[in-house]
Amino acid sequence: MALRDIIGQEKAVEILRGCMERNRIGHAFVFTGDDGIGKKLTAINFIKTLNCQNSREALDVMRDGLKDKNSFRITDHALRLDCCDQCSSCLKINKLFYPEALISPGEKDDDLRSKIYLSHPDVVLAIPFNGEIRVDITRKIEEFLSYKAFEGRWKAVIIDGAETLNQSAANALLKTLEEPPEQSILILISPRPELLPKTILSRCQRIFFSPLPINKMSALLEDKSDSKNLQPETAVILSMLSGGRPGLALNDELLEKRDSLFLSFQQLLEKIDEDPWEEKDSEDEWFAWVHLWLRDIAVLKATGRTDLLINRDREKDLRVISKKAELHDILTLSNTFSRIRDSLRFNLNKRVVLYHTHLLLKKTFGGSGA
Amino acid sequence: MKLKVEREELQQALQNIQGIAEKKTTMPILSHFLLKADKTASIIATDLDIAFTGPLKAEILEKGSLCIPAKKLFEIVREVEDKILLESQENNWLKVSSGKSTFKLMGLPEGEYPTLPQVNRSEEIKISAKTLKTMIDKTVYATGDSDTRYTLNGLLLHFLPKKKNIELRVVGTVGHRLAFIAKDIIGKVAEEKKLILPKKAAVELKRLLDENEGEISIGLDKNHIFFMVEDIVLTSRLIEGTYPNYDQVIPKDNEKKATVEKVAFTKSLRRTSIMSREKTHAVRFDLEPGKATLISINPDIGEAREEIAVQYKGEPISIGFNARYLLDAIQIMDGEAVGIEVQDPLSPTLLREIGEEGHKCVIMPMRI
Repeated sequence: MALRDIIGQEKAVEILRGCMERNRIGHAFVFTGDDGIGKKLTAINFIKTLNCQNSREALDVMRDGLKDKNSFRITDHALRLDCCDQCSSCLKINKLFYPEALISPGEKDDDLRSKIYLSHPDVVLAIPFNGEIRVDITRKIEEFLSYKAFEGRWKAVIIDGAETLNQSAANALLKTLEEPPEQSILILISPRPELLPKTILSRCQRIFFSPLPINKMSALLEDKSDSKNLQPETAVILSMLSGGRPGLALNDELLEKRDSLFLSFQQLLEKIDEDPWEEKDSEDEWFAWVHLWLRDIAVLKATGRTDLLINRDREKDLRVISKKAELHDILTLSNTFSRIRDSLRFNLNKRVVLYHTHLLLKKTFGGSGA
Repeated sequence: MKLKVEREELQQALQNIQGIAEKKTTMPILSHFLLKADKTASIIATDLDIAFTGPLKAEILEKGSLCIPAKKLFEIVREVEDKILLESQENNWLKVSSGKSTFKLMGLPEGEYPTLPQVNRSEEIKISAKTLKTMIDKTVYATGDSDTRYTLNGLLLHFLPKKKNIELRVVGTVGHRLAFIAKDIIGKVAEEKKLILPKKAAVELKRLLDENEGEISIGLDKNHIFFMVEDIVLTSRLIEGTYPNYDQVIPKDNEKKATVEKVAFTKSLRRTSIMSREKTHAVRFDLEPGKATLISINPDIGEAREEIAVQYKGEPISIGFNARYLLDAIQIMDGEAVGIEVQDPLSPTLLREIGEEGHKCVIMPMRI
């Protein structure tokens, strides 16, 4: 994997390449955009490129203005500003895609809480533990940056899920973000940058990542899962469902997940039977899905057209539900739900949310219908 | 890779790297060492702060390299009794056989191990092991441990070019105290160089110097410093940043100069500091012509008072110190007497080793 293999984020990649081309690389970036669209992928490949042992030569060539005759072979623009994905530096950094493998056998939860992950001596990855990044991690990052580079040219820090930096961790990071040591680069990755303190955002260069268009997604899906014989129709549904996020669409269980949650949604319309949200993040996930379904229900109500649906394959069920309520009420419900979803991070009581949701659903769809 | 090695030789080599290979868990591979068998065999271990490269006397039957778990192999080597045969097999397995026992250890490929920088020999600097050890000893105590000002967690190595040789100045400080030592050493540098050596590296280097005598050479590059003792190379990463201007801190013309006998002064400092507060170790030092009185008062416990003889002719002065700082600085001095130079109760005090002009300590007094 290299920068050239990243699909659909041409703009972001172009900006980063521009930095490298002009040799003016910002010291701090925030990569923002939905989950699963390639932020971390881009960040890691960007750093691979900066530290790549083979592209070093190419970058130097560019700076020196092609003095060396032999270097004419490296004329392809894309090749010059990309990693080789073969040198030991690239291979080491690649291991950051699987941070679990970088945990030593003896490490306990307490150690993991403040662990930073390294697979290359000059590249650090920080990820939240139990939904939080603590100040110990910021301190370790500071210490890491206080040394000169071990083998690469750049020292890099990637903070994935930067919105989970707790207050003291974020504050401790400010000084480093504003004035990092030489040859250092920090990349903060966050799907919800609005949750980051303004003081952090103002110290970083923002790079936006956008969801992929449906046609690119479908092509990507068919390409990636050629062995599994993906039907074109399924590919389209998957790309619609995932909202243009390859990370989600490539998950094998996306459709099954949708179906099981949809079932629990249908049940909740009738009665509270069992807890649909057993795991920690499942509440948020459930509301995200419900948002999609309410959208489809509203679309059916307003237009009656099937081709505008996201969940095309569940048209029948959706149509049944849509008949039970007015368009206006469906939209109001959707708004209320997204407010609830926003408040989830304040640790709402699960039982209360469940009953409230059920009541709202009942109120909207439980009547005699239109 | 296949090589045959004497048990004692391997045990000694592994002993040398235990301290480095075990320490950190940030990267699982750091608990391994890299064994390289080319024309000769060598052992490489690093914890990313420092790296140790040493030779291994072995009979090489097949060339190759492998990362081997340091602790496990060490335990094996300690227990077996015969010559040891190390043999790499498919999928990075290592077969260790000795006498009738065989072990299989899971190794990792060389490519995953941090790549060590090439030793830079362009500016070779030479220094005797003893001198360097003294210089580290006399300064390292004053460096910070985990100060947030990271530059202070190391020793400043300041190389000043002179006509024929180099002046090396080593400085350690945390802000309240500073230790300084300067020596002329052999070699040539093109320009003035200021490097910050991490404290951990300094301590590890000292251990290495303890075991070796004679001359060691120093190599420098942009990010690293190399210490070469015979066949062993100790590589250290440097700390980024600018070291405080130490020259400004060292007082040049303190007027009140006293001399005191080292042993007697140390002993009475120890005695009086028994009564001082645990946190501050504050001791008052009343200087008068011919004698000094050390006083510590702790309202919760009591007080202590002791007189010692000093050579002093100026006006009386009373000044407060952290007894621990004084003790640290004096204990490390070699001469029989210590020079104390004071200006006033709140400005920096200079301690000198009588007979060793290059060594100076600065201690900030306390308000008492």
